[in-house]
Amino acid sequence: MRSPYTPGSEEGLPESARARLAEMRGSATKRRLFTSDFSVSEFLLVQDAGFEPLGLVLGCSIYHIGFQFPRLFANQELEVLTQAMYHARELAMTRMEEEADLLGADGIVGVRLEVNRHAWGQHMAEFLAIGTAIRNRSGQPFRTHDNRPFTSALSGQDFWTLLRAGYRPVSLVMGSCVYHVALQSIGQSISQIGRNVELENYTQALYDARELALARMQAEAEEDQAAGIVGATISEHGHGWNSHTVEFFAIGTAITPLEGEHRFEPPTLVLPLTG
Amino acid sequence: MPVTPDPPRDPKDRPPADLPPHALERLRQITARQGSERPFFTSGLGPAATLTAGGCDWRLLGQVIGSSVYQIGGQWRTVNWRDSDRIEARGYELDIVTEGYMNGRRLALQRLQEQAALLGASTVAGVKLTSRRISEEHLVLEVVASGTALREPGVARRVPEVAGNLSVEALYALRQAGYRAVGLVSGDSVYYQPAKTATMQATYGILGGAMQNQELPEFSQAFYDTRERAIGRLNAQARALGADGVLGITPTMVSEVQSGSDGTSGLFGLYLHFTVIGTAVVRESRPAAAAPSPLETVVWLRPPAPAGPPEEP
Repeated sequence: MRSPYTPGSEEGLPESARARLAEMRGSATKRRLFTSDFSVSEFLLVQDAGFEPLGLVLGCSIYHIGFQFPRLFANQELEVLTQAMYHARELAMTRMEEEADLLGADGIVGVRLEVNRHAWGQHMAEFLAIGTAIRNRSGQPFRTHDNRPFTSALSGQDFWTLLRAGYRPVSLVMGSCVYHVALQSIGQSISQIGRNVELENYTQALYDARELALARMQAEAEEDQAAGIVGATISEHGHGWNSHTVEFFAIGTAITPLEGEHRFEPPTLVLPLTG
Repeated sequence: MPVTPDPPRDPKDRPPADLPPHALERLRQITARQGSERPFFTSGLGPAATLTAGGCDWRLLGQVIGSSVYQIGGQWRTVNWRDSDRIEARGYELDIVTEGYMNGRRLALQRLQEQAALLGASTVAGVKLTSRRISEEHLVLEVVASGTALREPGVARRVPEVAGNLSVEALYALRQAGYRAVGLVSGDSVYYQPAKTATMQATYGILGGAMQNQELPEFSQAFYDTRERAIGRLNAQARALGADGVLGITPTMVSEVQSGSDGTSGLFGLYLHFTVIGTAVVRESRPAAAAPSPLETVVWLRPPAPAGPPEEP
């Protein structure tokens, strides 16, 4: 479950972040300066969509992931690990949103969520959220219902296309599930030697874990009053745990229709000469 | 410690003594044929760039390279410098090392500009920056910057601008939108963060408190601070060039652990190094629309590239 968000909070931001963002906002004597990881086409399309880039924003959290003893012969979710993977990502996301707030942004596009593990920390991981904060030039409201800046994993090109299709992004939604897949008993293994057989407990375990991750992602989108999710992916990560523990991570961008009538433009078909 | 960037040096003020003789010879051969009946050029850009450059009357002149082998000095202040550092888990930036990384890159870029100036270029496009460590013992880096020099009609610049890794096509799109790429900007930060006692316990093993989920606040702050400082320096370089903004920032992070002397104990401290590189742009005019108009939505009849969150290394 997501924690409530307080706009204007600066919790967890280092001094250097406040200084950098204050400097970028400009002042009476200094011009604004924007930074972004946009390519030239993204930059131009975001501007064409009526937005201006404000700055590269990021949030990070180094998290020590706890431990939970699984029952060896049971399929079960490892709630301690699920909680860790979710909470750490949320910390990073919230800090990134706080940075965007300091820049006076309406939202963040091109958000990437990375989990970096290093050789130095077996039970530690670095969670990083990074994206480009943007602001609507005409001052239309784009924030979420609980007054967060909107977040979107879509590229500048996709952002432009989405607005053209009559939708706006609401939030980056995610669901995580760390699952322990039961070991097979010796009896089971012997009875299956040399036969075509579905391994039911494996099927059920992986199926269940995926469904849990997806359901949690959907619940977040519903909470944000979204109409749907685009660009959803489910990925599987081992994170260096033992071979029977696996994380399923679902992530996507929740969208909602723009206010007012919208007309779809028929797209032009192109046959590319490459690929 | 502010690492301030040097303003670009004008190569005409001083003979480029730091360029090797063969480079001068190579560039002289190219310039000698400029304006002749059979002009000759080299380019690291693809056929589409050649088409675009020809279409908007930009002249591709030649490939230019700048390189520097740079030894980064040591900094002896470590975790044992002051016990209070460790007790309070006070992290600090290694300023000599930070400055070293930035200087190596600055020298390579400066030579790239010098070569481009000898060709009479106004801009260097498609710049690639690579850096590798060439000594096991010492921190010695070879930094290489390479790109393609080109001349825009009617633009005379004593110091050619480095248009970052932007292609000719991207430069053209930018110019149509009223922007100009003015330079490659970058920032580094090298940081040392000692571990708090609680962190050392948490990472020591089952007995220490390793069961619980917890954020390691001093490391979060250290990673965060390192990134912010590096981006702050990139901002300072962009400001020095009079830029309105920076595009295409690519971040690179390296971290290294310092363990206890017996090699078995918990986490002692971390060395972090973060680099960001981007292209500074200036707005020259405000055209009616940023993007070419009318824009068309196009459906490409080919399978989409696989999308998804980046895989873990």
